[in-house]
Amino acid sequence: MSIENFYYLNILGEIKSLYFPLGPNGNGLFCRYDIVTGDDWELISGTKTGITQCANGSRFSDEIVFNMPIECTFKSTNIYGWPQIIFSIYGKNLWGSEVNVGYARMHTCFITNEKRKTEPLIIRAPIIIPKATNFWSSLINMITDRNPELRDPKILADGTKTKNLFTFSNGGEVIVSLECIAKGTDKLDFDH
Amino acid sequence: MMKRKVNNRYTGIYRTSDIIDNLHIRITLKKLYSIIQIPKFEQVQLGQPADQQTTDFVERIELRWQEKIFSKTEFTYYSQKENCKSELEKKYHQIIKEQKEGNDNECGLIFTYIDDDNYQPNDNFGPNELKITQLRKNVEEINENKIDQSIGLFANENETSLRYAGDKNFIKMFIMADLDPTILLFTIQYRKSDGLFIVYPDFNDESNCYYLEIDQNSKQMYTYCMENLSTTSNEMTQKIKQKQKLDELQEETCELMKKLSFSIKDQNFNFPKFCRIVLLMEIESARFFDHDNLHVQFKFKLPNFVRVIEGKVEGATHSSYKNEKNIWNFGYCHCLVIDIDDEFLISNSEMDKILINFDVISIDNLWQRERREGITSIKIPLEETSSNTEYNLQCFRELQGGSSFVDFLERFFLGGIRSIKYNEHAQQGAINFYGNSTVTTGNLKVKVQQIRQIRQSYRKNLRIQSIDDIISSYHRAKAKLN
Amino acid sequence: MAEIYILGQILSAENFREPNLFCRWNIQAGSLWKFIEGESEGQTATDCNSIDQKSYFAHPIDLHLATRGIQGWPKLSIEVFSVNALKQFCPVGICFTYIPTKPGLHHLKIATWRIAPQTVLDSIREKFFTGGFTIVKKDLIHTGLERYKIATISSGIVRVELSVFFKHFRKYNIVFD
Repeated sequence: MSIENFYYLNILGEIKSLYFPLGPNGNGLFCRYDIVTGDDWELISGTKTGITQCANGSRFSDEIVFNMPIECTFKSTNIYGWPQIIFSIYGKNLWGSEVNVGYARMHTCFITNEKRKTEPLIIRAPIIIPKATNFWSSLINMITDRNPELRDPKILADGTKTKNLFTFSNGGEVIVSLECIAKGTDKLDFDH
Repeated sequence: MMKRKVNNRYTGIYRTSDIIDNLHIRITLKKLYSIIQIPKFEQVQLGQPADQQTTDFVERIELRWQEKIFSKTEFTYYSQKENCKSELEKKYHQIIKEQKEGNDNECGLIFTYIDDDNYQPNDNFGPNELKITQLRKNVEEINENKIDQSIGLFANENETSLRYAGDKNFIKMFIMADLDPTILLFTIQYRKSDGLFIVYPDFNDESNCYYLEIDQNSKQMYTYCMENLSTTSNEMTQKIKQKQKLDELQEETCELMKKLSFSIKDQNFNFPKFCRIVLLMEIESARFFDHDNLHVQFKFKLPNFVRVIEGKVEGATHSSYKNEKNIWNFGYCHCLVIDIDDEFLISNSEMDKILINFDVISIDNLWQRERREGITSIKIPLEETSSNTEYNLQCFRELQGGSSFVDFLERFFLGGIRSIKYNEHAQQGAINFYGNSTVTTGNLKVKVQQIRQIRQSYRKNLRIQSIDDIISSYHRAKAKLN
Repeated sequence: MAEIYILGQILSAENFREPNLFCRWNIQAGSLWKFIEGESEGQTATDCNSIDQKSYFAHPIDLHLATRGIQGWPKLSIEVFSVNALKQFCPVGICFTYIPTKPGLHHLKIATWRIAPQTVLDSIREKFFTGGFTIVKKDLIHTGLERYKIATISSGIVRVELSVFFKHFRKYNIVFD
């Protein structure tokens, strides 16, 4: 890791909203995001985690708007370990207790050349809900209206750890709008 | 001119690598006796003395991190031994006893709550009235027990999830004022793991203090401000020095490594003589054909000066049956690496393009008859990499016997005869397909990608603008020869 | 050495008839290529495609390769399996594509196929037992040499989003546009 070969990457954007075509599985949803990077990356400013406000949609099938800013600056020498964002979404279920409604994972936007349009990139990350593995667990989960939770959502960012995870999806998506600015990539002779 | 400052209170978020014990702040609390601020004009004011405030009530305190200052109520509460039950309260009692002995009974209006006091301001508008301190302890326990087999949580372990970890590991300090209702002046939070230091409201100075209006029994107006007097410690500069030395060392090693590996790098890399092109072709899918059980045969036709290094110039895919949507998926990939030795052989003419011919053939189930379903082709220029990579090709086949009825009978009973070879260009004269009738059949989706590795082209560098250039370059060439 | 960074995700699998799908993916390259960082193969989580016949994986791919030549360009091969209630799995789709040669973000829609049942008995066995045939000789997927021996039937599609970064390619005079 030689010092003259590092570059800065600034990620700006917002978590726009959640979109559930069949309606959300809970009220008062809030979302927690974590930014996960590889070993060669160092956080210069901004925070890697955050929790949004509790939001409701006004009608049944509306998007649930968060409008939560994400801003981070990283310093790195390597592209491997590009930052990924992991969302954990929580809400109130039928019985009034707070449960997990799903997880989503996405890479932050990549640097592209100027031929792209000038609007920021809107990424729709599908929401994945872990499923119980046997029949009795799923029965109890249906009665208590509570899905199993991941102990550490950061395993979604690592390809090797999700091997035995059973999930299902209800078509929901996390809509995120991101831009990134990079400084110093010329020295590294990248093409992008 | 008088400035009416409307203070917007912002949170100051700082990141520090210094140790937090070096924090040194000064809090000033001033009472304003006149709420109406009289503008001062240039003429002498009539009647009103300039300073209406009789005695300026000012309180100034300098604080360090996690320094506990008692309020009046706390002082009286903790000085009685019966009230002190927990360890913390006993410690406070001890401190107060020592203060009393030292005759330090003064208590100002400003006091602090430190982290151990577990004070929580009422600013939670969320639906969860959870005790955050309990959660925080559980979260820290989780962090100590590292990864085990299960990746999911059981239902009763819900409170110990990492949910509220946004608030994790912050050490807090609250600076309060002991006015009629106890007012929270400043909140300071610090997290050691990433050096985050959050202050609400932000630091300010005496010229733009924050205003505080109290409206209980009587209207009172206060201003307050917080100044940062911290200076960096010696330990910090040592860290900087160490980092600098490390950086210098790394630079030196990098220089040495570069010298070592420079020559080896170039020798290792495979350079072609002039130009090497890698063609990656994928036959993706087909649709709208008549019969089932299709496969595609393809053949590359290359110009003469091109040399094949790796890959075959012809091949066939596997046979595929269609799925419910009537699409045949092949997903067949083919790679061809060719080398061009001399740049002057490439031109833009039609003969110097790479031609790929595709032949879609169906095999009958009953009698294994082959029928040609369609043919098509792609041309790829050699001069430049084309930007278009995906091709949606329309196929056609010849009508056997000239009419559609004969064609139907022939194909049904005998299978399709491939009577015409479209692969060969006409060697002499013009291409003459008179007498053949064809019919369009289905679509074939093909994707072709190219990578080329070109050595510096001498031809492109020449930009001969005028006759003078030609003459001067001629003279230069002649001088070189001599 | 020229280097390539491959970042992206296996986003979803669509239009498969079978439920409970997971993917096994791997990236292979020729002899001149070397894997420096990252996993070159893996398995996604299992998703039950209850809605719309779409299974979402959102599985990350992060790989760093170095090369001494442009032959043997890396290729991505994905096998889609379906899991039944008895936790047995069988292949329902195989596909294979080259890593894109232009730098930038690419949305790939890869069409998959599987071995077709040849006789009536085979198709009954496919429905009632643990699915159809699988390929023992994995070379058949990657090279085209012996493909004529097999008959296949088309399956669904897999969506992959890949972003490719190239490093030092200009130094070795490799051009894309």
